[in-house]
Amino acid sequence: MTFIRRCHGGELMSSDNSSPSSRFALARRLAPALALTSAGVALINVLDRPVDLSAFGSAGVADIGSAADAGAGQMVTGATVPAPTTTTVTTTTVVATTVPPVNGAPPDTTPAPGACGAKKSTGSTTDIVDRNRVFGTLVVTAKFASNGELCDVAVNFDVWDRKSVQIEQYALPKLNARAKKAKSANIQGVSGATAVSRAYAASLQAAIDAKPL
Amino acid sequence: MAPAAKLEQRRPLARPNSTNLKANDLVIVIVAIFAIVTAAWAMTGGWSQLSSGWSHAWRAAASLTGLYTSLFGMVGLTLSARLKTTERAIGLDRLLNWHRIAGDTMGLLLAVHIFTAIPAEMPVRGGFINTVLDFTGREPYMALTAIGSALVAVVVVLSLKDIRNKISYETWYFVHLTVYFGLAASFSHQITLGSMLSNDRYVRLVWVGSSVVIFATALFGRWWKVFGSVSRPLHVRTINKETDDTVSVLLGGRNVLRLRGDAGQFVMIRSLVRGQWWKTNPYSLSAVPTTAGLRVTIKNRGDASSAKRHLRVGDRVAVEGPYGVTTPEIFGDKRPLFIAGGVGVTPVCALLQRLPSDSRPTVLLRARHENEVAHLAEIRALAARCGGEVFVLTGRTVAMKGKDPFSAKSLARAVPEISSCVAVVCGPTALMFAARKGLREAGLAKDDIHTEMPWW
Ligand SMILES: Cc1cc2nc3c(=O)[nH]c(=O)nc-3n(C[C@H](O)[C@H](O)[C@H](O)COP(=O)(O)OP(=O)(O)OC[C@H]3O[C@@H](n4cnc5c(N)ncnc54)[C@H](O)[C@@H]3O)c2cc1C
Ligand code: HEM
Ligand code: HEM
Repeated sequence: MTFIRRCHGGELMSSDNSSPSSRFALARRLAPALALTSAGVALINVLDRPVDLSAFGSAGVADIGSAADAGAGQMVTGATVPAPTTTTVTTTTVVATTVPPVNGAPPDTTPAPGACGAKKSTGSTTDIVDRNRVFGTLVVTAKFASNGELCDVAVNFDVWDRKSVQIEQYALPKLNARAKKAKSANIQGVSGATAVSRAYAASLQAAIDAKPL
Repeated sequence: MAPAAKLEQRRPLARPNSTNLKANDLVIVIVAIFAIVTAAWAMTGGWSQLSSGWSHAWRAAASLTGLYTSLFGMVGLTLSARLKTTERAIGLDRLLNWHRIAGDTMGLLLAVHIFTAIPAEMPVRGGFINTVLDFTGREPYMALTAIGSALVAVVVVLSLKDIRNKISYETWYFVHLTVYFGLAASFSHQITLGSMLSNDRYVRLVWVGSSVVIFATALFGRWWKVFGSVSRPLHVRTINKETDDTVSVLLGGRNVLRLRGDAGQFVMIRSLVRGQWWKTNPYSLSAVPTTAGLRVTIKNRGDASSAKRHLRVGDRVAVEGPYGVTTPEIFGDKRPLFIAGGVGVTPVCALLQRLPSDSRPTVLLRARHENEVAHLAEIRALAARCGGEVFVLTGRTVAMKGKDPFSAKSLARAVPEISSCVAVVCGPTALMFAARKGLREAGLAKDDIHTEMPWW
């Protein structure tokens, strides 16, 4: 019951009025919508290039399968982590990458006394919790030199969503490095990854507490 | 007018269903949905995240604005679907005006969502550039999301009044339809990235479930009506020339019996003839709808309406509706006052037919010339039947400069006891706003002034 003032359409449309039943009227009006949709679909195809998570392997991430197969001694020489054969999204091990064997010896199943890894202990399986959201769990494995000093850390995690995987893959190597530097569980958290930092510190503390004498 | 022979057999169509739902109830439902989602967000960590450092605050904000963006989209979608109950409660014009508000808000929130999501993810994605690259394709599903959001943005921008008025209704409408695709495309990232949705299984279940149900209801609810109107069309029964540039068309046929309708409502008309089938236009019923058919009176204005004047008897016409809540019940036992301009007389003509004989309506008609008013004789006769009066204000608007016919003073002079009337205003937007203003100043309550607010 409300009518448009003439100027709303009437005048602007006057060019159309001359050909009210033009054969191309529909095509002309449909064209922008069709162009937009096809451009959208085409762009999606061009843009959609999800980064494969295995790319993170080069940043020191190994698959749990190969890491689990690896013995304790091999973990010390984390710099030569075997290339992952398969990458599963949910379960990953982050291994510190920069620990040269102390005496330059090749990997050995029984580390020399004094080498890092003379003692080792596994921390508690800790929930990665942010308030009441649980993202997954992690377990820290700590290695100690014969003098009992913390000298290397590795961590297994199991989270359920892709985003947490990314956060973990970003934060855990940092936390490993910080722990090694601090030689204790008293480390600064990674910003943007508080939940995992907290879980990491807790699990590492448990590992230290359980250090074999 | 229908042939006299038919007069005896015809009876009015069933009235539209009434509903107890009020505008306020709809608002309450919408507010409740927002409250529930906000609570879920707060309880799954959002609230405490907000106050635990910048990077957390950005994430919490991105999450909340994402949820709100989506909710406004869903609300807008539901409103535009013109579901029967909601339409009966507030009328198509208000549904679509609310839809505009939801749409505009969604556009703003989307911008905020994007600009909080970027800083939220920058620390874990290695800087601004990497984040943007991730958001436009390196992160799974984000290419879909980015394009979907771009489509939503285009739709919102094209709906800005100034831009909307520069393009034809149909061009705008077809582009508008791409928003279905845009919404669907931006869905998957909510599950893969959303802090709340990717991590809380039950919340996710409810969210995905209700999103799918709402989307499907809106899409099918809307298009089922279009399909129904096209598959069971009416036929043009008679065409009468009313004035130099208006014709009245009676749309009848077996399918009329399916419809419910009343005076004061309007229908969306789609002529199923070559070159016209893809356009719909709203037209008021200009007579009480009966089993003989719906009468609409069409003024030659733009593209589609002039083509409709070339309709021939027997042509098929798809009719959606009738829509609208300006039915005779609005008068209660108050005195009716009608203010109409130009072809706005059409619903007045229909409403007058339904007034009781002691209702004493006042009809103010605005036109450049008396012979431009369609159905004038009919209106005079109908008004006289129930003790009413008809005034026709003629002349060009410029010639009346200084004497605003719709100022509170002029209205009060023309209509005794004006403040106890219920007014119906129909006509050009300018007339409508002028009359509303005058009526408000003359003491009418907002609820006693009825118009179909322009919705495009
Ligand atoms: C509730 C209502 C009742 C109406 N009743 C009557 C009536 O009884 N008699 C009468 O002659 N006219 C009536 N109109 C006006 C009629 O709908 C317009 O004249 C018609 O839309 C013009 O369309 P067009 O394509 O011929 O003109 P154009 O010049 O192409 O368009 C004129 C304007 O109409 C708008 N418009 C076109 N299609 C639609 C649509 N589907 N929905 C919303 N806006 C649209 C456009 O935005 C444009 O601003 C009514 C309008 C409304 C809203
Ligand atoms: C920003 C301002 C917006 C305005 C002014 C607006 C206006 C309108 C109008 C007037 C209609 C009715 C069209 C008709 O049937 O003739 C409509 C339909 C619709 N709108 Fe919007 N809209 C806006 C934004 C949005 C947004 C953001 C969305 C996405 C959720 C959206 C989704 C829809 C849908 C799905 C329809 C139904 C189309 C159909 O199937 O017929 N709109 N809109
Ligand atoms: C280019 C555009 C967009 C970008 C870059 C983007 C980015 C993001 C990001 C990064 C998140 C995760 C935030 C978090 O950690 O919680 C997210 C979540 C979300 N987004 Fe978007 N988004 C975009 C468009 C949209 C659109 C169009 C909608 C709605 C239709 C939307 C709705 C949501 C919802 C509901 C969530 C989930 C929030 C949660 O679960 O906590 N987004 N978005």
